[in-house]
Amino acid sequence: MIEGPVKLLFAGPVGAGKTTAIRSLSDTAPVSTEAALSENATAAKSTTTVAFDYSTMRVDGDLTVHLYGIPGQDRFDFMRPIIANGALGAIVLLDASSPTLRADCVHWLKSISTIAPTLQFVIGVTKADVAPDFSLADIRAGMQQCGIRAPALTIDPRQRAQCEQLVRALLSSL
Amino acid sequence: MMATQLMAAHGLTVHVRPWDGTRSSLLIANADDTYGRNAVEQVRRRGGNVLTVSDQPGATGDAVTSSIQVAELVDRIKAIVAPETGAPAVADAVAPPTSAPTALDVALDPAQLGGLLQVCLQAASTPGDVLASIGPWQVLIRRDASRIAANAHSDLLAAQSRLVIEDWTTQTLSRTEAAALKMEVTQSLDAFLITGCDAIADLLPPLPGNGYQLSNWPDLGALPNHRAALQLASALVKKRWNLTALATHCGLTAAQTNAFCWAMLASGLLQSDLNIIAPPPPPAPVASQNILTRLARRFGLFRSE
Repeated sequence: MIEGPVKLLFAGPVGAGKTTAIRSLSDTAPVSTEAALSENATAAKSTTTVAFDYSTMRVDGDLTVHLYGIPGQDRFDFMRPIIANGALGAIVLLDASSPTLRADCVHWLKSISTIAPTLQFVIGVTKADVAPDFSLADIRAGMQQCGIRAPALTIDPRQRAQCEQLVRALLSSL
Repeated sequence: MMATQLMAAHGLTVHVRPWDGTRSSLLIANADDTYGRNAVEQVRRRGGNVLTVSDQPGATGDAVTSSIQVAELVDRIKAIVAPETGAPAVADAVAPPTSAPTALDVALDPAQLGGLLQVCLQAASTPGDVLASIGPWQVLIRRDASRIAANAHSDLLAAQSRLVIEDWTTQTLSRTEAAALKMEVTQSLDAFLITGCDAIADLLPPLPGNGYQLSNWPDLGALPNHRAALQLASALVKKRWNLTALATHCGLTAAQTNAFCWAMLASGLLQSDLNIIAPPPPPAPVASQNILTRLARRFGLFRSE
């Protein structure tokens, strides 16, 4: 049971908005390990996280929430158990415009729950406003496939209030 | 001009103005010139109503000629802008539920409740998406996807303020047909209904005091300031409640609680005690009560347990 520092994980595929969400929530300047994208760079996304993002958010007095963003690339999967150890919960961010949305959902839920079986989840779906075919049913079906019932919210990771809503939903599900 | 003035005989007030690209109840355009055809194309793409005038022999069947009699023109305009007393111009009625009525169905007497809320409830028995129209506004309800779409934010706001106003016409669409509408704006149906029902909480009939539970978390991402919705959702996901006990537990009024449950019923997430599936066991605590309480306070959450 967590008694000391509180750790929150941000997981999900490349381009889902993990780094942006951490920046929105942070009280301090985040530490990011970004590198230029070697392929598929766009005006909206020209860099990607190659190790992890880290920042903090003050709660009160001496209690601080540590925010960790897990890199989306599978070649960094060796880092996931290290980062996930002792976490309060995981915010899985998914890109609504991805043609593999449900598969992404299942992949990340399974991937994280394998290394931390008791971890609580909340799913944040980004870019839903520009994905006319997006269906929340895909996310709900993905969760059901993994035996997980967690809050799934569509959010804009640039909006601090909506990122805080993810944390609220996670706390409410505990 | 005379025809539009005669619309008053049907109780309709008509304002005529040159087309400027903004939304209107009806566009009447000359299909024999390029400007008119462009205007028609734009309005049709948005799903708006159009009446074309053409004297060409090969004009489409629904065009009128410039020599049309005034009385006939009045009838054509009325059939388009106020189709409820005649054959629907663009819509078919949604089929009524075919399954056996439950206790909840009986409580949801359409005579008590109409409007878009009833359209959403009926969408449960409709395969595919539902295009709902009232006056110049159209919304696409994708209930299975928990999404609602429209051509503009103002259309969604107009629809939200007409949740219990009658006269919506509906048309069932396949996903392909719905996609072809190319609606510009899409948002969470759950958030749309929660906000809309909240605004008319005092008008909504009380749901029976049976046990209720949510089958899934609603999408509350767009409602970060609506703490009551998160409280109610959290409680209803975890266990079954009767509405009086739920209101007391969350420290909310009966009307607020009832409005939230109406929204969840319309979005398809609320289960009555007749069809509740046993929820999974609650998760084991992962952090000390002290830490959880401090976190909850930091994020403006009520935490009673």
